[in-house]
Amino acid sequence: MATKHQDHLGEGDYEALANLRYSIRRFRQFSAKEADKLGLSPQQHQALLAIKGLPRGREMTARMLTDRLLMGRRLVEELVQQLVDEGYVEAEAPTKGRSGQVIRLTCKAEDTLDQLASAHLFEIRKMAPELMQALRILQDRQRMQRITWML
Amino acid sequence: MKKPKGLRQQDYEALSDLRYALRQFMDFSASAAQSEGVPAQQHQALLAIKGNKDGEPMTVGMLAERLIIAPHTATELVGRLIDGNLAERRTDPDDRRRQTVHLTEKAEELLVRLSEVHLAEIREMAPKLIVLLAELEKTGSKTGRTS
Repeated sequence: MATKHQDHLGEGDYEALANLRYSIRRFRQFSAKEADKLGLSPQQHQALLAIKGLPRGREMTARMLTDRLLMGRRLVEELVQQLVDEGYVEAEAPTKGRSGQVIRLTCKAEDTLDQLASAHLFEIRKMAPELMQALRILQDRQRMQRITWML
Repeated sequence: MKKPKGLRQQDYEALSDLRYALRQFMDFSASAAQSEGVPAQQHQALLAIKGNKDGEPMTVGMLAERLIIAPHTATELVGRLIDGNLAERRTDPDDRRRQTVHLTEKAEELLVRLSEVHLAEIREMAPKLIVLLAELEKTGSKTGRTS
């Protein structure tokens, strides 16, 4: 009958899943607003953060940015052009044998990211406990299911 | 170069990794919903209704809050769920002015399938996400708000 499958997932799991998504939405909403205050679109902010967040000694290329932002190549090209036009990044012309154009942050971008980062850390401190709790509930659920299968 | 105290390169790496992990999850989720033939936003509406606190019936106003969308957008969304036979409106017997939104059997079944694949994905990503969040939480408490 129709309701038999309910046994797999409890109401608590749906609540945890819904809370997880709500936390993520609120965080993204907050982030978009903070970026907007400084005149950046959420995508522009994420592109700058992705470049800044590369381990030292590594350089961002347009191709890597496509992977990191999970966006199409054309959209990333447009995004990089906007960032160049607005003085946030410098894009080196592609040279032979490289996997694509190298993109570097300007001082303006570094300053903007600094301003955004402290507000984000503050928000994460508020959001992290509920997000981690939802993740743990859902993880435990998986563990319990596996134990049930083994019995 | 001036920097808020305590903000290091590794904090930026953690912030960037956190956003990447969240993007991957949202991307996965949207694809999973699409493969069941529902747009991501409809899936989120169904999940919000199903996962409402203590199984409380959902109103359109509450749904708007949970999805962080405008009330009229939530009304339209519920209209599309009803058209797709995924939800139905009911009038609260205790308060005739109050309407609540309920899932159909079709929506319940769809959510079971989608939630199972989501749980599997979360199991993959949770350990990394928990480490990143804990790390950033610690940095956040040291740094405080400087802007």
